[in-house]
Amino acid sequence: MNEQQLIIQAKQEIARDGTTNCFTRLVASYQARLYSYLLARCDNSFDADDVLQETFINAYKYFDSYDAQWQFSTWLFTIARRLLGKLKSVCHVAFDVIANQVVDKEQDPFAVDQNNIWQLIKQDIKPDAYDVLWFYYVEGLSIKEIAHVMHQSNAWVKTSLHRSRIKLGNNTSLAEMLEAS
Amino acid sequence: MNNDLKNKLQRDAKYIQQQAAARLQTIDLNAHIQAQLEARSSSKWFQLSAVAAALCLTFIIALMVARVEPSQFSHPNTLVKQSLFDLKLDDLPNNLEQQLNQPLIQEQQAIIDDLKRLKTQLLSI
Repeated sequence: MNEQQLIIQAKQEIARDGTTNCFTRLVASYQARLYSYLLARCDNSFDADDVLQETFINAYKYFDSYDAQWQFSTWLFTIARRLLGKLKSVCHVAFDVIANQVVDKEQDPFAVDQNNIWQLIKQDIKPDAYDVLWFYYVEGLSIKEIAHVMHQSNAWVKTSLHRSRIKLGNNTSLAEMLEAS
Repeated sequence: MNNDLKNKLQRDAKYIQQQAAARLQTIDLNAHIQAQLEARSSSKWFQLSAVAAALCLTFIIALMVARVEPSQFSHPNTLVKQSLFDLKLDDLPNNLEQQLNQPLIQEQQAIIDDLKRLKTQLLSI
């Protein structure tokens, strides 16, 4: 059964009696890609766990609204981004302060290494630009697909990519890191 | 963007992907999702009518805001004042520190619990 057939089958199952056999297979296919993105994007793996779980629950709840003209992964990334926005609004002030004290590296063995370039550029570029870079260079999504995920125009995505490239190119610490590696 | 930077982005992303794969091996995501879905489907009455849903949503938001109340603790100074005269002089520094820190730690923990609960509630809307 290919992906499109699996999606159709999952849709039918959920609409008929809410069973999740095919949906579970979809979760298994996409969880690694989605979780990698969330792990890079969140400050700790606990938040990434929460958002991953909620993304699939939302996908199940709103499966009817999935538009087959887009890839299923594109739809999942759209949901995950929306949830990250919610998470950020909760965590913006209070939770970050406390979480940074409580969730240290020893308690979070799956946290991304601080020397990883994706951690380093988090301080330099905005979350939206970060997402564009991830989707373009890691996920290999097209400009059109990224624009759909970001709810922006194609031109906006191209501009964001261009600005990020310039910004990262001018970053001296990154240049030193690249020389060292 | 030069190729070095592009390669570095992709190489380090692979490291994150390995981390993610390692993490996913330790959790049974499907079981978590099933449990959440079952828990949510048990409250189907909540979705019966559009008007009721709208009212409930308003109610939940109000409840959520109301639930995040600061926990009730005695002020550290009150505790110290109450029991200061009962302590032996040698134990005084330790007891003083314990009595000052303990309520603060408890309060911090309560705040963390409140915030985690708020986070879960907001994510599940």
